[in-house]
Amino acid sequence: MDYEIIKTSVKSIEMTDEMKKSIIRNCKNITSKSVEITTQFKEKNKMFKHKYAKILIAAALVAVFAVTAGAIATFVMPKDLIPAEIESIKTVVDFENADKDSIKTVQKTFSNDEFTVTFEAIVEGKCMEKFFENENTIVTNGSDGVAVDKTYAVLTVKRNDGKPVLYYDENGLLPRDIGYRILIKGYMTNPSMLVDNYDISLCEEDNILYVACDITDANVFADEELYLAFTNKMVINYEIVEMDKNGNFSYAKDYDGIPALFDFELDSSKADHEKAAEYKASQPFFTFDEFQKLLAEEE
Amino acid sequence: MQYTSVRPADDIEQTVNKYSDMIFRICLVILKNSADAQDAVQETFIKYIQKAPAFESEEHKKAWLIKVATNKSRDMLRRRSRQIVSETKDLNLYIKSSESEPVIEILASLPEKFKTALMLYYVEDYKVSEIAEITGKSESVIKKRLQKGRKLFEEKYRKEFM
Repeated sequence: MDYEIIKTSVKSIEMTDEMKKSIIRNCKNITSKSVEITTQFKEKNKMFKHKYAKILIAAALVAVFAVTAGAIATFVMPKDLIPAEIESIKTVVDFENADKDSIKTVQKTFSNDEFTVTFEAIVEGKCMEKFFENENTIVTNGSDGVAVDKTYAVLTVKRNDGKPVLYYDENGLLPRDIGYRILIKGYMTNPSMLVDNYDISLCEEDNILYVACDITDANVFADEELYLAFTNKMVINYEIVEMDKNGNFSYAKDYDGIPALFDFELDSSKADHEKAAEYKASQPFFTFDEFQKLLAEEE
Repeated sequence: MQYTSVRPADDIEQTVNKYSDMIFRICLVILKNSADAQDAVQETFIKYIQKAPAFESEEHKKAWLIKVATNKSRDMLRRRSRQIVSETKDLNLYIKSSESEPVIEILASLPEKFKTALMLYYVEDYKVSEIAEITGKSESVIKKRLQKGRKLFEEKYRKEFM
């Protein structure tokens, strides 16, 4: 059979000029808003850094880098020695592709009355194909899916009553109500450029929700104290997670979502001080004292 | 790592004009619905503005746009998977040649992973290794998808035309 027919047929599809114009118009609107926000944000940060003067930053843009107490217990998994506790993620992780550096167990659990969330492991992309191949996997809007050079935090979420975790609204749509942030001890900042909520992918099997959070961009900070805040809300900002004067973080006392916060380690050889410094310089990074002043100014 | 970046307006216009038809084709065949396809195209270009990767070449840029568009379409498809959607007639509004309609309908009726592989291979002329890179799958997976996709397409095509 001559498959050229597919080419000629598909190539006959065209957008209307109106559709193109609408797309360009919307893009330009977003661009002009981005310029405005970026300019304001930089200017305000500059003022704060140099003059300790009035700074107003939209609350939505300011999120946090956080910490939990407790020892870090990451260890490397040899290929032929899969710890029994992470057998639970065999459904989605290719252990057969693993080498000594590609899967690192974390195994930290948060529970409340309704959910049990376990940060199972940090898994390199080459072992995640099974996850992304799974017919039930939902690759969210901004995610690029699996790639061998990516790093994923793999978590499981279970309802304590054994029911399915995900639910769909009346239109069959999956509400986007799961969020995560990578946090660095001692800093309040806007982490949206480091990782964002859209880099999350979900796969539910037998009422266990497997979650893959793309944390690749956090690798440059691998020699700092890192934390993963995970919750059933889209937004994690400083109203939800608070930092104390020692740089430790906790969820706000009245927070009504899942307040899961895990410490973890990345491969410190991936730390890149130059890129990390570049990132920190590119946007506001506040110590406790600086942030208190910022809050006082806002009030 | 990407930092703050904003694309200049003329770059956006140029990129939309150059690639929107290609992206729309892919999204429309995957989603079988023009409104969803237009949304997927829009979101692809928004990500282009916001993520602003540094492209090594024009080919790199094209492949990145395809990757984002297919991911977005797949995401939309999965989110609406519990809905009953049968809107293949909608496809015909954007097909310039009437002879192409049944071919596209057959292609669009295939499962997503097969039609995406077929489109990238036969329409966009990508090699298996390049499709593997774009989709984040292994070459062997892509070969199997092409093989199965061709078989499914041919069966339906013969049923329709022979």
